[in-house]
Amino acid sequence: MSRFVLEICGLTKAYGDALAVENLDIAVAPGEILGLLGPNGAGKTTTIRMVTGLLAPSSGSARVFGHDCYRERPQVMRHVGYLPDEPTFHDYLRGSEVLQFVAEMHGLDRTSRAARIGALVERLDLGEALDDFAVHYSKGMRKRLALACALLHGPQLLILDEPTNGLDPFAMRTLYALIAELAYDGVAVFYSTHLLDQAERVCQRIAILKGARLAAMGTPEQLRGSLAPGASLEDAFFAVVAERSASAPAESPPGVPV
Amino acid sequence: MLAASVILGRLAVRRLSNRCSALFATRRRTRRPTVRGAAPVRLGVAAPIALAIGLLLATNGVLLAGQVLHVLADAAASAAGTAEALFVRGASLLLGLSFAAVVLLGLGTGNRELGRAEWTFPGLLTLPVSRHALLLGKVVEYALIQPTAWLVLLPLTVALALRTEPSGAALLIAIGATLCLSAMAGAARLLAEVWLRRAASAERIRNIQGGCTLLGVLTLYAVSYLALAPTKPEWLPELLAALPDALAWLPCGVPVLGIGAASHPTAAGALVFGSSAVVVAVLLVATAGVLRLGPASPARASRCRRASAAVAALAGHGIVGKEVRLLLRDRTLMVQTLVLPVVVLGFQLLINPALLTAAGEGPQHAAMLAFAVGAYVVAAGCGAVLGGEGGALWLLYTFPRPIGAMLHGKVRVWASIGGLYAAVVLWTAPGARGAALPELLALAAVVVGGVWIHAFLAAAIAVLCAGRGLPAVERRVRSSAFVLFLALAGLYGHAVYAGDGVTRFATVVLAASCAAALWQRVRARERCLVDAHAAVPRDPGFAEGAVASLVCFVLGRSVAGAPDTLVPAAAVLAVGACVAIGRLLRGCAWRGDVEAPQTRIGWIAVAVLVGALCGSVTLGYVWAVGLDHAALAHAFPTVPFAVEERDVLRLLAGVVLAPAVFEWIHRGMVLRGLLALRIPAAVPLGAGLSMLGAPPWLWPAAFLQGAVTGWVFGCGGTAAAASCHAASLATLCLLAKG
Repeated sequence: MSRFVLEICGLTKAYGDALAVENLDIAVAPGEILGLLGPNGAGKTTTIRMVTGLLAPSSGSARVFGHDCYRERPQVMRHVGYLPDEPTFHDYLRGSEVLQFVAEMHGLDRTSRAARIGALVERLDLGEALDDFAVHYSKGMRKRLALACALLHGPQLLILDEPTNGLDPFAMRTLYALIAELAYDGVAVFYSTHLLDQAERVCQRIAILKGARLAAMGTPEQLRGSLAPGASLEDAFFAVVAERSASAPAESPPGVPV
Repeated sequence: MLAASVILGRLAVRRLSNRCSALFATRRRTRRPTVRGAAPVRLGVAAPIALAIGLLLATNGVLLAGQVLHVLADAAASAAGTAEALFVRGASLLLGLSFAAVVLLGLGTGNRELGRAEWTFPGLLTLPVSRHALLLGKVVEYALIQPTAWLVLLPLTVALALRTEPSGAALLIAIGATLCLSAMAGAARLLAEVWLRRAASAERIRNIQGGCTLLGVLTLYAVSYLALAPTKPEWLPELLAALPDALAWLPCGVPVLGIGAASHPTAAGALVFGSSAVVVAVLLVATAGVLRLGPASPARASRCRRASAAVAALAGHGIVGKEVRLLLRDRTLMVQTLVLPVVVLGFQLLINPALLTAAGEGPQHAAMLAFAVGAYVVAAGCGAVLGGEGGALWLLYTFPRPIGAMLHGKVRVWASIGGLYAAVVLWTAPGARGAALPELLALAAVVVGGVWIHAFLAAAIAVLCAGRGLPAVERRVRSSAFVLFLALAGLYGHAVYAGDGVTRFATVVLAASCAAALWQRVRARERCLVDAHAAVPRDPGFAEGAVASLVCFVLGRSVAGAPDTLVPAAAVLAVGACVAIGRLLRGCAWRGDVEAPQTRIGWIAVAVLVGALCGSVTLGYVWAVGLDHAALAHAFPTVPFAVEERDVLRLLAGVVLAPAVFEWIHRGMVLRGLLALRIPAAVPLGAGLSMLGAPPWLWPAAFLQGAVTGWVFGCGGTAAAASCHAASLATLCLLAKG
């Protein structure tokens, strides 16, 4: 049994001749929060969609507890909670019914269903809107509902795609606290974002994608230190993204831009 | 303003052409098994088929409209007053009703986004163009791409123009008049959409859309009734006499006057165009006024806890509960799936009382009617089994269950509803009441079982034909998929009308194998549904084999049952139908790379020897059960047993070509598919399916022959299997001579 929750090995996705993700190698340990950073089109969302089994890798693999994310999606999703960038819900389901439906589909029994839904509704401040149709929620509310859906079954890997988009500062603070608690409890978090300050604040390790490839990976301190003493993560990010060639091989050790 | 409208109009035409190419395109198969880009799209055989269907519909529409006008002219002649004036009033009323139907259907079915947050029209208002230009552009778009406008109004205007000016110019006049009417309909629809968006909640909009669909269909039926009614409506002359003259000067009546005044084309054209322009301008001003009142975003629905609790109590749990909740709350879906079948059935019975008489004459007609209603329900419901998930499809992928299993749950809901409808129709049809109980039970089993089978067929075809990886709103099912479903459902009629239980059983088994094969393909491809670039798994072609065996079985029986004089024509039609279904299936069923069948030439000699042995055993079996040449000739109609019938052509056709085709289907596709899918006991299963075409008394021998040929196929490929079968028939033919 591997000591990692998520192992991505040589993951590649091609759309015709264009490569969206090329030869990506990342591993996430239990309790670790790994941030995925990169400019638009770097391949963050494609990577996440391959990890959640929505897209087929062209080569390589992503594995959760040893299960292939694409071929063994049902087994993988027992351990994974996924929050998409722009969650959409069914037209005629109320918020409470969405949560009920998700809990039923995850096979939770009636007692644990009620307990978990109650706890998440309170924690994410969803109570007021539960009787409205979810399709009419604001973007922030939809995110909170989708996050509740992702956490209902107690996943061991939480995949968050731009989780703070549309959230107000209060909800963002709740989310940060929740992520920290989950990580403390041993849940691995795979966190994709554009926002450098967020990544620096939340993540223990950061992987920077550029031009479909892994350009650098390490702790925020390692990334900052690799550039110059006193440099910020923003400086490090721009140095990696602006200067490194897309064709550079991704073989350097963690913490050093490759 | 004009430039902006032209740009939007061009955009509308581009959208229409993109939609057409998406609907009728097939993906070119490539042989590359691993990484590949988007497969190039080309227009497949579906395009000419759709064009032919479109021409057929247009011709039918013009004939129907001509018939309506003929009935109207007769009524006007027999009514008190000037015949021509009465005719113009009546035609104006008809055109007005058709216009209303176009607006209602456009509102009901033409804009799926209207009741959703993502309606794109408000986004256009952010462009640096005046509101009036944007609204005009939208009207141009609706005028050009509303299919119902052209399908409903053009036949009427063509028939009107032909009545006045029976020449080629009539078509141009009719197109001009239709364009004016269509623009007015587009402007009215836009005003209604903008107003609804402001005034009603999203749920209410969807409910109103459902009501509009229903009203639109009923209005269209009311217009068609004039032409299709079994007897001329006696109330029509009185109605025409009671209509006011002013009717002809209403916006929808002006085109009738304009078309009637063909002797002054410039004045008539100016009248029609001018009046339409005024109406469109007034409607646009009203729309702009509504827009000025505030942003067009749907209001929140008021919470109705009692209704919600009732729906929740009815719905149940899991995927089935979710589907039932959506059905009970979404009135558009409810109208399309639950109400329209009843309306269509009612109208068919109204215009064709002979249908009711026929259904009363025998249980088989009643059963066919019941199956048709059930098939309609499952086609409408299962057709949206994937597209109905909309933007929430991602949610299904987060559950620890196979997508196929979840879709299976949804199909079961629709199959139950369709089965219930079919059972109710069969139960209430007068013909079924007089039938003997065993016969009625058998028919009920065939009908309800058929509805379940066709629910899976419809769902599989819809899933395989939906655009992969597209946004939810774009995930439309190609029209060729619907044609394919209709063709397969039509073949099932053979099970209902079969005189003997064995044929009935065989048809049901073959149809079920088709559904199972296509559903298996859905399961195999469920991982690729949202990824347009995923490599499609290699596919053994089991689905094609199952469909081919059903088509050959039913059409073969139909040709054999045709009167002698009609056999050549029936055979040509059957071959044409086979080719058309094959091409449609190829376009729809999303076939991946297919392994080339293994062929070992060395095995052909062994296959011939084994086949000869099989032929001898079959003949021995025939003699052992005490049957003669006549039974043998009945069982093998293509083999020339009588010496005087034996010429080279017949021998080639009966002993070489027929077994080659048979083996290509049953071993080359069906058995190869079963083997590739690692189905247990694939060879006996394949032999069982292939023996269904033989008469029941020959089943033991046919099963043995199928099993042996299956073994030969596994060793030497399709050519060896065909040689074995041919050798068996040749031996039978030679030995049976004595």
